[in-house]
Amino acid sequence: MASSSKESLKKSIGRSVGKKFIMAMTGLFLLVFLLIHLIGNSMLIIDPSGETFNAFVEGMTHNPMIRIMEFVLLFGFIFHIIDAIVLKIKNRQVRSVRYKVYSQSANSKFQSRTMLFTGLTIFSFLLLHIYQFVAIRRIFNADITMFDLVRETFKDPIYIGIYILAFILLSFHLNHGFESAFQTFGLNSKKYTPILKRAANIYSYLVPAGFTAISIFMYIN
Amino acid sequence: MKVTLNIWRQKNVSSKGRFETYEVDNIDEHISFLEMLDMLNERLLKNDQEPISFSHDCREGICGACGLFINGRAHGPMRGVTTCQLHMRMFNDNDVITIEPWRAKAFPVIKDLTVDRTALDKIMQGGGYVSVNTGGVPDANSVIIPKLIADEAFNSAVCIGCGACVATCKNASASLFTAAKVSQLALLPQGYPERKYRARNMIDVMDGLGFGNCSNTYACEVDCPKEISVLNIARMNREYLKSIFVSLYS
Repeated sequence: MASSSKESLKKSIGRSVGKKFIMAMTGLFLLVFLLIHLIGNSMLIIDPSGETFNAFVEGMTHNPMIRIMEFVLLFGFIFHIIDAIVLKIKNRQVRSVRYKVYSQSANSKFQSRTMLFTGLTIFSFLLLHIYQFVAIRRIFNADITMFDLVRETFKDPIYIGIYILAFILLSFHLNHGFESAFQTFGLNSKKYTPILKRAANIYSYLVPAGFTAISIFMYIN
Repeated sequence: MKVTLNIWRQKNVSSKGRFETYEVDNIDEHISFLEMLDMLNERLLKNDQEPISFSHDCREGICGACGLFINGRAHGPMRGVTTCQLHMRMFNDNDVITIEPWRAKAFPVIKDLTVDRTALDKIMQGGGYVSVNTGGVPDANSVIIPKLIADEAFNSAVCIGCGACVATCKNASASLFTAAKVSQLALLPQGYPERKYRARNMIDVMDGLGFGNCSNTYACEVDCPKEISVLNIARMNREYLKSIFVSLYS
């Protein structure tokens, strides 16, 4: 009979498939966060005076549950990024001689092959984003409402350009990541996968499009 | 028809390889790719040159011995065929064709285009087997299996172990191969005794042999000559999840 040597959580997570589970789990968590973030941002359009948005931000800042979730989110990002790098290091070592001709575009999607690139680019944008919208108010204690800060930031067309570019890359990242997470969990079937693929497409186009539309709306107003 | 071939030549495991260019003329477009290489080898032998080494056996697309990386694709540009079933009519006159061995650290090149795929056998030894009772031959059909399940298991069992999935994967992952083997046994009652640990044990061996991680690009499914679905990888992941829960909480 097959060996049934003692299993530990460390071992289970350490295997290739275990690392992929961490990737998928943190990825799905970040997907939910992104949707909540978009709902918050949509208040910029619903009430152009900014009062609703500011009230929402204040409510979030003083909600202890949200403060705890901030830490969970931070760890979600950290695990997602470190795990990706660990997986990539192993994947870089699998071929000592590379193919001279390698027609990858013939059998796989561009977004599935560029996850680390899109991911790291989004991460650098995230650092800029945290500096602009979190650090300025919380660390440097700037006396400005979130709405005014958003309005000021989105006056700069260069920033809008960076913002849109980041969301285009995020769209690629989500397109593969959403669907891929379910495959990793083993939730792939002939019946439900086509529906899931459509959901992944809708999510990965609509959510970044929503963020982009709000930024353009803020620029115009 | 006439083609120009860029072929990887490598003396042995430890030597450094290089590409060499050959021209082959007067090819009947209905001959197979391997027959075209046979033509070239006959010429090389006639000229007292070392023939090109490549693996082949049945030449009917069922044994899994052949496997060449042709113009950047495992088994060439056609879907659902092995290299031996690829015919020259798939190419154009005066085409330049690059032929490389399967490239993966787990598949060392033995010579030219021949690679050592023992790593796949080792994965099988990790858990790709079933326990059987000794004694008399059991009656046929004594174990009833619904047709739907039998068909599904068969779809996984059609894997010929050629290694195209590893060769074409950007991470040289053996996930599709391992998943097909896990699946065929997970679906059938004969595979139940070892089921709890099978996925875990086979994945352990797979990881240890230097194959990469699956990143769900699904290139393997496209280049698999038997068109084995990535649904098998999802099934392997499910089996793995079950297996670690069983091990951790029992």
